[in-house]
Amino acid sequence: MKQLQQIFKELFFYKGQAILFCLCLLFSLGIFISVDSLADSTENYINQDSKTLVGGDIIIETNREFSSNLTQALLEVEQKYNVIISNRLEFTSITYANKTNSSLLTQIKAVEPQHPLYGSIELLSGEQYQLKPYNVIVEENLLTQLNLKIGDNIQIGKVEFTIQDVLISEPDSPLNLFSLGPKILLPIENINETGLIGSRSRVEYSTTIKTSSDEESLEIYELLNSAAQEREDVDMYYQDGSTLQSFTTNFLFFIKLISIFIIFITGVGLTSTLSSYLSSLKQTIGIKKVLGTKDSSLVTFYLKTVLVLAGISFIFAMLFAWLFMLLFPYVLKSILPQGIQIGLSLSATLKGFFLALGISVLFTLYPISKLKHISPTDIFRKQDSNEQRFFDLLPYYSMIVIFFAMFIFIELENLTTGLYILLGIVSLVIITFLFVSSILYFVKKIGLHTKLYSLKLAIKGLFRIGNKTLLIITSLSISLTLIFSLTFIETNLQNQFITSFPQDAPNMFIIDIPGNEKNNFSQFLEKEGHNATIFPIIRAPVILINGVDTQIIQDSLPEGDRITRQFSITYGDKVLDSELLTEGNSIFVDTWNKNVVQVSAMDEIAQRMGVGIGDRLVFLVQGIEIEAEIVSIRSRVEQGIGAFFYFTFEEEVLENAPQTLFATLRVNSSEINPLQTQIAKEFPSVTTINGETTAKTIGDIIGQLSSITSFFTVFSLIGGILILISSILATHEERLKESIYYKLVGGNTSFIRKIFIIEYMILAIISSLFALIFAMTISFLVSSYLLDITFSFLIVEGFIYIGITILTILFIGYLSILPILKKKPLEYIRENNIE
Amino acid sequence: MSILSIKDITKDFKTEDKRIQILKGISFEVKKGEFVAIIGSSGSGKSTLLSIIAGLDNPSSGKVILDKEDVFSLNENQLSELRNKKIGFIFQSFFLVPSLNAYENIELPSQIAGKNQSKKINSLLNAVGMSHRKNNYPIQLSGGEKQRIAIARALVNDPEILFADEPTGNLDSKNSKQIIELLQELHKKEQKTLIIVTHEPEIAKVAQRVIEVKDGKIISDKNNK
Repeated sequence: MKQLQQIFKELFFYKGQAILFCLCLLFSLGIFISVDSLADSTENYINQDSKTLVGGDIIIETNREFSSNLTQALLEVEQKYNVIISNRLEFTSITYANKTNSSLLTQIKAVEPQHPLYGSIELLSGEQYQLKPYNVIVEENLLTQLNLKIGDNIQIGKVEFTIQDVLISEPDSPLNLFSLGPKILLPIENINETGLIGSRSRVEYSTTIKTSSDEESLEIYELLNSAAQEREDVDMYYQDGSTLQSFTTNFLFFIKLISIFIIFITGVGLTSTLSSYLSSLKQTIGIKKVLGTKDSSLVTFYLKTVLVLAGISFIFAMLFAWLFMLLFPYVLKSILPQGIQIGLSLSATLKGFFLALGISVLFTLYPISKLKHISPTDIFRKQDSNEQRFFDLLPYYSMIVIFFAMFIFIELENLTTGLYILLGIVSLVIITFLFVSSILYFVKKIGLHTKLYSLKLAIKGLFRIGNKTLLIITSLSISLTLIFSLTFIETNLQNQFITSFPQDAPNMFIIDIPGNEKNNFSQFLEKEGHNATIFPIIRAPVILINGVDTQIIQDSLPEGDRITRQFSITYGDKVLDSELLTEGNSIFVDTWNKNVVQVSAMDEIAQRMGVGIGDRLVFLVQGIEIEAEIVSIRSRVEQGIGAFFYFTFEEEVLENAPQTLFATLRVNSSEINPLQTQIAKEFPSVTTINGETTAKTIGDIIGQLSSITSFFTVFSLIGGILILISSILATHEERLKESIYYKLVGGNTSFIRKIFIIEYMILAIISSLFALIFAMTISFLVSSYLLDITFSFLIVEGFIYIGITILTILFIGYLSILPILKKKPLEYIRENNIE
Repeated sequence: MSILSIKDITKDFKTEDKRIQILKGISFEVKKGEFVAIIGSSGSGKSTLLSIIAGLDNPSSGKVILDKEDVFSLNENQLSELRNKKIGFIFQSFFLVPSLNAYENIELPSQIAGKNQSKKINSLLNAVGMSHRKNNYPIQLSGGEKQRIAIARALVNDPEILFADEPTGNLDSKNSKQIIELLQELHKKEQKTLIIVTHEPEIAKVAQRVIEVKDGKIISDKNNK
């Protein structure tokens, strides 16, 4: 008890360092606990409500009508078991309102009266959900965008529906982030009358089944699964990888990684802060040693101090996490499922507690253990004893790396992924560390030879004892790299899709034009004063690649575009304006006399399939196998929104195949909606996509995800700044000493201020320049090779970020040295000379 | 000719319940080139007096005229300039900048003054017998060596007057003796005005004039024979 009193007395006396220590810890812990709790809440939500999220005990999904085998099996299930079956269809379509003469791309979901089998639908009116015939329930933004109200009518295909109510939430689709238009629920019994099914290229057919027991579910699952044909997925509720599960959990995992990184960064701050704390207590420690306190007792005493600080920080971290969780529903609105209950989880809290103890002890063990090597004489003579050497630190660094490795493995529950992530983090740290070390080596050389005296002194200052220059720059650089990279990638994505939507590029895309309506449609557009480029589209999968089953090749490929899927193929005789021939002399060979047909492939799919000129593919076009040899490879010149086809055939091969048409055209922005409405009226089965709105929607999605990530990454920057402040605190005595000595030999305040400002300027310039270069490289690689978009080096933006970083660091640095600048020489002399 | 004139200096400190007078009306003059030792027991007020004379502290009343300038009428920047150009300081704790080597520490005042005096620095290094240690950092030097560097630094801008506050206070007897000899030698050679606050009888012996302070007052002011 007495010792605890003493610990608190010392902490109160040097409360600046104590507060900074707690700040470092509570920030990182708070973020971790809150993100981990959120991940737990999401997992619980998915686990507890998985039947609700799937919509049944069993789900069947396909993008074509069910095969006869499956239909037969379903009938058998219905007769044999006590089940409820609910069918639904989902597709996109243009909906228009005669009243306001406006139209909109919408997500149609045709459902049966028993929908949903689990959970309930929430409506704006508060009434119980019951969808009436020829009625629809719509999302609120449809009313806003079409300027309608409940009770008004909307036209979907050939049928006019009455808006019955507004949809607030639907249990089986709690996440709306990726939706390109408002959702409309309509009775499945009216769907055929709309005339929209049959002519559409993309319709999702699904059936959910509610059973009476798990055993029954398994029996039914076995039965249906054995009846299912290719591309008919039968899943139990817990097998279904819903969008929510894969997206939200992956995204939260990514955020959690950032929080682990923040913990690592602030750990460095803990070392500096405790060093500063112990340095302030040198006299006390010296006296304790003189009075006979054993080294081991000292080490134990200060370890206890650290544990007390960790405990205090943990309590505040809980409070911080709780406050943070209050923010989550707003910050993470777009990625959180509707109706999720967010709260601090016990496991996250426990993890946070052990993490607090672990990182506090590990990161402070070195400065505490150094106490053993300090002699009281050194302390009283104010002499710096031994300097830290890399090999002295090695055991401590190793312990920290092992601790983080274990932590990451436990968090991931996957050794391989954990190793990759650990390797990634360690490589990033090592690369940054080496780069910063070499830059600092040159800076030191400059310091030796420069004629600018202030610069020389500032550089000398960077290498003063106790200065964590290398660590500060490394951590600032890494956090800035993350933030800059995210911003560059987001800006490039935005530029690609939205901001610089090419002036001459098509901004209207019309799909599912029936093949036999080609002339009518062209005439209609001409009458409206528009010229469209029309492409025929045939949907077909590739079933064999050089005689090998595509599925076998797909199984050996890493995750990515599935080569077993249905491709939209076309026919024509020329390379599109947005494409470039990269292999072959022309799109097709004029003197072709082989017994297989010719096909031109896009480079990205050829690469994915591992094929090139001369390789043979077998396409299954409406049940007919077509063997084709690749005769040319094309590449897209422009990325972004536009027409492109992975495979192009000669006209005579596919002209008679069942096909739809795809048209692109460029119209003035103000004319898009009236034309869209007109098309919807004249050709109800045709879907028009407004390129500009779609681009904006995609941009919004990117923006939202990027903002969320940046929100968390900013805390890694705060971590870097905390290290900067803790390092300034740790070197306070040295800086003060220098400042007083400068004053004694005639240096005025502006001379001293200049030296410190140059020092921070160097620190800021190196950190931000490194971050800029590294972020440019990372975002270039990600944009070019992962996202496949044109990358532009955002030099001006980059320099603006550097400017902001420098100003921030200068501001914080300057605030921290103000007390030093104000200190009168005599006060210092009295404290240090005449005692 | 007087270079320093101290007129009726008083210094009070206020504690919670009373006012303590550290200096009680001290006046004296120092001639150019004079070597003055201010002695007194601990708490006599001698270091406070030196701080006031050197412009590091303000008196409660009185005046200090240094080379025709009223020290307390100067603002912070003018005081800095005065310290840089006209005053040299030597302290008990040396006060060398740890990140600068011996040469750079000596160079510091001249760089602040905007001068490049490498020749002079080298000759000062020679004069204090530290040429061979010019690239060493303070942490690598002994107490005596640090004080030699501090003396060279104090002289680099050719000041009118040198103030030394217990310059041998942190040194052993051998080093103390060497420093006293060095100060004596420099005084003779450079003819600098030197004011030393000390309680070392050895220094008092070699000074031309000894002023003894007790309880904030000068109790004797004698010239050594």
